[in-house]
Amino acid sequence: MFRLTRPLAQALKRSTGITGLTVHPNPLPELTKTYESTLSVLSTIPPSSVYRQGVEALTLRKLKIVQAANGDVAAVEKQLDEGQIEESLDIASDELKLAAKMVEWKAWEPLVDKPEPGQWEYIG
Amino acid sequence: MAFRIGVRAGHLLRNISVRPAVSSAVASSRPSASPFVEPTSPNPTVSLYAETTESLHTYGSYLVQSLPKFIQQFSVVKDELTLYTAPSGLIPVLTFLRDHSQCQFKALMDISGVDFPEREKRFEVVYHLLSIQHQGRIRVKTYAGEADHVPSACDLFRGADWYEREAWDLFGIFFSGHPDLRRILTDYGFEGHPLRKDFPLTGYTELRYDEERKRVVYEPLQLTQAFRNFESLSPWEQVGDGTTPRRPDDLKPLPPPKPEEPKK
Repeated sequence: MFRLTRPLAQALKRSTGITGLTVHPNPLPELTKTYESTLSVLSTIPPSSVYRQGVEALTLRKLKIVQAANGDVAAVEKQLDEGQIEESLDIASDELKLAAKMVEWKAWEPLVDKPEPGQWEYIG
Repeated sequence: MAFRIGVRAGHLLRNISVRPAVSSAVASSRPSASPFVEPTSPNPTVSLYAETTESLHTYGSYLVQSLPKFIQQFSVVKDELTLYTAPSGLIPVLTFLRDHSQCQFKALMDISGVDFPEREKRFEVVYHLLSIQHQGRIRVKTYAGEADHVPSACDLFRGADWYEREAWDLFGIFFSGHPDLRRILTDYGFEGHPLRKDFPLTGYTELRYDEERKRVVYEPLQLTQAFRNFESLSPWEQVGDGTTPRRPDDLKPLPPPKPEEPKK
């Protein structure tokens, strides 16, 4: 009986308690989809990029947690440790947008604008 | 800085202790050991912040490696991490700090300016960010010359609006792409940027209530009040001339003031 009530908990959740963050009725498929599209965007970045390596490892770990949870939102929230599942959704979509921008900026290239000598030297 | 000095001092101390005494002359020139056995007061740089400093160094190098194109360098003092970037890389760096899952710096707490008149790019613009998710703060520094512009952060952080107006008002740093760049703190019709180092402490104008015109009038500075006639002699006995502050050898002097234009 307890197992049955768990999916219901998300359906019955009325508020996240955070301003501007609405309850998502079915968060886990959405989360999986976001993680997978992040991974596909990351695959266009050169594999030597530290950003790609870091985010790929993180996203794969999160994706595994979501897939292993078998639809249990509470378990996902506990293991991701990012607060409520809606916050995890926000973070995931942020990362997806950022990954696309990193491709656009080509942020893995070497430094473009060097500071003038003495710019970052302070007295004392 | 204090931490680095402490580390350097530590190295020196170690060198001294392991080096064998080659002659008695060298040994006598060494400072004698402290006669006090009690421990000195705790040094927070070592006792309190050592662990934080270490992990912030790791975090800072991760950020620099993730954005090698835009971040010039980073620095850690105690528990404060600072990233240094060119104005062209400011928007990517701020976006990264806001959106990356390991950063999540969602709140812009303040934008401040610093004036170094001896530098080619004399203004520094400092962004203070807060991450509620990870309970941390970070600082991003960039620079601008008098005729340069810094891209506005208003599209990323809505709260940057008034902070940038403040920096524009007090320093004259121009933010391109700002929705409404006006003065915010100084009076109507005010001229100049009061926090610049070459702005006089007394300002250029003084104001008083004019009884005839029944309103407040601005006049060129005259310093008529008696208490503004400072005298350097003090009625109290002084303790001496004091010491000369340390001044780096390569510090460029201020540019000479422009000759005043003849007044009509």
